[in-house]
Amino acid sequence: MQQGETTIVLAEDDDGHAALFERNLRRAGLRNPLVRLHDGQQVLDYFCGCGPDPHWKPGDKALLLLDISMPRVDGFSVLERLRRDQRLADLPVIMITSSDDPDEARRCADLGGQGCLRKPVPCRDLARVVRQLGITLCCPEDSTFDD
Amino acid sequence: MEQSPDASQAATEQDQKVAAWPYLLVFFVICAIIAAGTIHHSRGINEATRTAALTQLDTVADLQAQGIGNWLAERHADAEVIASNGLLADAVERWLAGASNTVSDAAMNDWLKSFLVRHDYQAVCLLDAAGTLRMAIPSEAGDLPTATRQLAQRVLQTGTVDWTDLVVGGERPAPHMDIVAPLVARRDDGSTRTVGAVVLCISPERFLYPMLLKWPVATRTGESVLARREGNHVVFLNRLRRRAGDPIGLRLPIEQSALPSAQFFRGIGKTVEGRDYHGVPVLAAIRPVPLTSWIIVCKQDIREVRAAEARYRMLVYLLVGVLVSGLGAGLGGLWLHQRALLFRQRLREVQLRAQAEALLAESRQMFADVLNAIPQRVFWKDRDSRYLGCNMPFARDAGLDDPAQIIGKDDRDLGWFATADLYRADDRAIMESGQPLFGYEEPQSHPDGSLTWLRTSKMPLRDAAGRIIGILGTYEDITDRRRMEEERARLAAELERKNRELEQILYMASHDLRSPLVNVEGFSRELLRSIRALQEQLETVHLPQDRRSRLDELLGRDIPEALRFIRTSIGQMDRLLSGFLRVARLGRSPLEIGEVNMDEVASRALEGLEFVIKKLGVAVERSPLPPCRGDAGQLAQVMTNLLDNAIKYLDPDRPGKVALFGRCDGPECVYCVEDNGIGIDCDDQKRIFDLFCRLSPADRQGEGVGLAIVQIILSRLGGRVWVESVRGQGSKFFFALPAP
Repeated sequence: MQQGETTIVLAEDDDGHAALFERNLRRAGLRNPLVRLHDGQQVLDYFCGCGPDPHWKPGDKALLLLDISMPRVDGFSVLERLRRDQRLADLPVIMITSSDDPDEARRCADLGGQGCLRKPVPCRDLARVVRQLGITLCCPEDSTFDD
Repeated sequence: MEQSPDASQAATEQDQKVAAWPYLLVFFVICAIIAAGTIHHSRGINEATRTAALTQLDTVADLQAQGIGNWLAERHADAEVIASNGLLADAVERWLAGASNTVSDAAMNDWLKSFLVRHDYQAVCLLDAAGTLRMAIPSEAGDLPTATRQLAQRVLQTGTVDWTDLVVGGERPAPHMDIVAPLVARRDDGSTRTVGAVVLCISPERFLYPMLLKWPVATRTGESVLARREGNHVVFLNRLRRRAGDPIGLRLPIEQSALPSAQFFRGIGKTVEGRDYHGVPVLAAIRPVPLTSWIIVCKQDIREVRAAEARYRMLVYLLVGVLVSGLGAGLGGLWLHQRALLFRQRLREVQLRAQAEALLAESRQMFADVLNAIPQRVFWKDRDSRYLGCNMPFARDAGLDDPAQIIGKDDRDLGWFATADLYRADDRAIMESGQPLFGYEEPQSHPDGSLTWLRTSKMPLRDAAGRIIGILGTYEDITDRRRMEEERARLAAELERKNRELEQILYMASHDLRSPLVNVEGFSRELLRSIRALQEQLETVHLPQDRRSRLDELLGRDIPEALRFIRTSIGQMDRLLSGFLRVARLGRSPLEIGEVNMDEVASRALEGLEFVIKKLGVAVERSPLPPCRGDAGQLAQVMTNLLDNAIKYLDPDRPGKVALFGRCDGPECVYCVEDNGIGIDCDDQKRIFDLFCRLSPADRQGEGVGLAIVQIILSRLGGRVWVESVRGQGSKFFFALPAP
């Protein structure tokens, strides 16, 4: 599997968060293609192929970084709907939240998410989770978002 | 119990009903039996008395007849003695012959006189063979009556003793009786010759008549009469009591006579009833006197017999009287006794009834008091839903002063007429089905148009036979409760809404408040990174010294310093926010109450703190902790917070020690986390459980919510927490929970 084949889909409504995330990923040396989506509906559209910009096709490798708190459709609803789709049952999804509510991590696991990270997300946390999924990101072992 | 006048009077009235007639009946029946017996007996008395009297008379007659007979036999024997004495005859013959030398006159005189002396004859006369009087003693007795002379002549001829019988009414006025004894001399050749005779003169006055007067029984009218038959007449030979003045010798005809003697002579019997010589009715016993032609009549007046009979009768009547009186008294006493018994019984009954009535009244009063005292309204109605009664609270609801006023009314007459049909329909349904209805809610209208709410129960009322005769109902006014329930429901909804708002706030706080923080924090790093990059870029650019130093000042010191402040504040704000969220979330999580193994809880908490404990070299001392009742997850939080606190505030100048122990004491278990840390001032001990309380400025790393959370959790679990601490020595945090 080539490194670039896994598309990182970042669903984040807050541009600042998205920019920070993207910068950190790039600074960490990650070269995977990155798709930025702004709300839950865009995520659904992206994976269902019914939106204006259908990037994902069955067979494409992707990692969804899904913010919980988003306008229109929140992260949990997105995950719930995605899991209903047979083609997307195995899609790795890591949820990102600004909250420290332990219930959210539990709910994420219940809905079939692969992990739940709290913002700001240290790079090594992301790398650890992703590694567990069998996806290798180009991220130096000891680099973090906060130096 | 005190006997009331009423009771006494009632008992007396009751007493009127005690029947006397059975006693009277018994009395009269027994009296009748006694009377019949008495009459029967008194019938017998006549005959018995008569028989007794006759028997008595018989006895007297026998006795006297025998006595007289014996006496006469003696007199004859005297004469026979004289007649059979030959020697005497010889002597008399010689004296008569004048041979006074052998038999003197004096001797003869003495001999004759001895009869008078020894045998009580009236006179003794000596006759010679010719019948001439030769000597008489007393001398004046020599004038013998003709009958005696004739008898003497006969005796001189026959040579046998003979007597004159009793002579009455003869030549002499006095009755007399003479026995002539011949003096028979015997010759040597065996022939006999009458030489003279001795006349023994007997006066009946001397022995005979007194003997007749001697009755062996006491009698007033008893009289013995001697009589003999002379032709068709009865001649009485003695002096008659009822004709004391008359000479002896009364003669009365035999035929057609009621005289007992006449009846005897007519052969009617030896015991007869008749009339005596004086015409007085008598009973008599008649006996012939031996050796004579006399009869002796012993008679007694019937009146005396009757008098005895009357006395006996009197006695009997007296006895009967006493018997009857005794019987009457006995029965009367019995009746009185029964009456008294009955009276007492009635009185007792009346008293008991009065007592029972008093008790009943008391119990009724108690029942009414209880009924009136309970706040529930109680009422009962007949089959037509008309009120039969109610208690005071109900009456007040109905606008009445007294429960009695409700009787006869129905719901349409009362203040709640507007809802009356509802109640009446319920009554009918219950009476028809026989099934009670419990605890249903219904409205009650009031004259002013307002409505209150009732919680009502109604049940059928049944009589002893089980027939439904009405309904019994109770209700209570639940308007206030209903209002409260409504208020509670409103508050619950409000709380729900607030909770939802809190959720929103929490969600907002946790996401939306933190989002900017993430940006601020992230971009301040970016800025720092950019400044470093800028500094690196400036290294390659040549600048005047003063500008470079100014730029170094800005980029190397001022800006990073500003950014450091920004990031510190962000961190502080983030911690505060986290603490705030943790406290806020506590109330949201549902409790799972159960028995909690506190040893396990403590072990897990210590595991979580293992790193710090090892790093600081804290000595942990544990004793077994008893289980308690609570939520295991929340108690783990409590344990962690307290241990964390204990470790955090250890005194760095001495080896840290933390001890953990607990014990169960009755209904609660008390646990303690003890440390030898810096301790807490007395004044501060009250504040440490407050939210966001920090005691020292140095204590900036904590969220300031640990002990507040402990207190909140324990409060939710029904427990409590307190601290004992000495500044500089250490603290003991106690917490108590319900025992399992």
